[in-house]
Amino acid sequence: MSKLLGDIVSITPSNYDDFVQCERRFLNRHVLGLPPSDPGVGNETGLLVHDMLRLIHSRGSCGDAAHVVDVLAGHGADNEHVRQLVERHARRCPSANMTSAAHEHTLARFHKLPPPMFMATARIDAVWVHDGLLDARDYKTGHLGDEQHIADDPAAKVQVFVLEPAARRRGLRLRLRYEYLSADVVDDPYPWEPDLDDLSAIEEELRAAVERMRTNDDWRGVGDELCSRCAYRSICRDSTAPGEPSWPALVTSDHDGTPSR
Amino acid sequence: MRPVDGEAEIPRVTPAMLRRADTMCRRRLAREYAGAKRNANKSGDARFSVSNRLYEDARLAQTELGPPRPEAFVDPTDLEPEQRALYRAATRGYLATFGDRSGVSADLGWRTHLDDVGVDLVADIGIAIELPDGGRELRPLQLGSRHPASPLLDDTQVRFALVRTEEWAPDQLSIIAADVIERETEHRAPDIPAARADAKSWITERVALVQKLAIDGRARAGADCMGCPFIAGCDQFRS
Repeated sequence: MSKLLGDIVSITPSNYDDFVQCERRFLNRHVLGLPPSDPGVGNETGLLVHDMLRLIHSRGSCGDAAHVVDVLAGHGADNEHVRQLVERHARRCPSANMTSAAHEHTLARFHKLPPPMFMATARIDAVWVHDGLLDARDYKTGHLGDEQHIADDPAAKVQVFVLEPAARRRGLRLRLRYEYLSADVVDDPYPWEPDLDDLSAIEEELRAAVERMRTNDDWRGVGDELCSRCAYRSICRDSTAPGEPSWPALVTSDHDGTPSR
Repeated sequence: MRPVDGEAEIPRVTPAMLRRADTMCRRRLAREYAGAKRNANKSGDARFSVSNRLYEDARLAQTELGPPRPEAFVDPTDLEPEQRALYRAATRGYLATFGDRSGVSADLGWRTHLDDVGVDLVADIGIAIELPDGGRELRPLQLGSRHPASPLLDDTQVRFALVRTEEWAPDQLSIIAADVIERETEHRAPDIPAARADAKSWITERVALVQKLAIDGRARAGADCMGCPFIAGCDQFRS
């Protein structure tokens, strides 16, 4: 089964999170590249807000109300919900004190030794340099998840792993903050400032995960309550919530003329 | 050009390179352009297993004049159960979309050499069908997984197809793109020869850009590192 993987395994926040939650989901989505068989919650608003925040900061300031209205209106996004999400961001945005910034920036870090090799990449929503910090933000437009501590989130570990060399080169402390834009979330989780021990442990954790991928023969699904929300619940061989996929299931004539699904 | 197996390898250009050359890592672009993958790290290609099988079987389904024969679509028992489920759904979608369209398949291969710019255009552009009235129909397929903002058929694909089909479809070409999972189709009937002249001009211009950027060849760490088969020796990752 390890033949399914390339010589250098790609690790991202999203695929590592899937791998930790369910190896079969990781296989289905990231290795086999299967489209979801079951409808999920759409994320159109989230994608739109990420785009708007990038544009707002690249052309001006989120603190400039007229500029924000211009950008939102220019992209058909000037509605109450999006305005509220942007306003929530503006209250916590460090841009007034920053010395530099980057938005929607993809970073990469290669692990060679000890084997196995892997390439970690992560698209970071925003990175601000201010007050001796490399302050990375992950915008969240949904509800607060189970991870009360960012350090427990597999996706955060990958982000920190790829950000660390950039912080080290600049002599900055690294901070990762989950910035919840929804008014339903009163307080963000505490930002994470990983120390050297954390960083060393993360690299080893990722390396061990890739080693597990390389030796995995069955990619067994978790078969628990996670299945009910999984995008592959209808087709997964280990699903505890099987059903009919949303894929085409037209009644057609079989080879012998018998109608079949 | 680098000699491979005793023969000079011809530079290759794909639709993705034409679309993304400006923003790609130039080291990766240079190596993909030079066709250096034979000496590169192996990439995981399991994600193409189902679509490759569907393309193969759809071609076999119309090796003789007539509508696609359902029995040509054989359950791929060597694949994972979820891949087989996708294959079956894709087959249903394909037959629902094209099941009543008579014709015979043609083999256009994977590459077309462009003498004037000295490159091969490389891509499977779709299932090529010769219709009973002599018309030419191209069926590029997708199996879901499209980004919400991505079109089913973009201008680069159409231009690429127009140039690659010049010999096979000199006077007329109908392109029916289908997402056989999402059950969407898009039909284009380009105005030949104007569209083909435009396609050649555009591709020539873009190939020149690819060549210029490939000569630069500087590595840039970022999104292109994911799945890059040329990590070995990359100066961005020397420890």
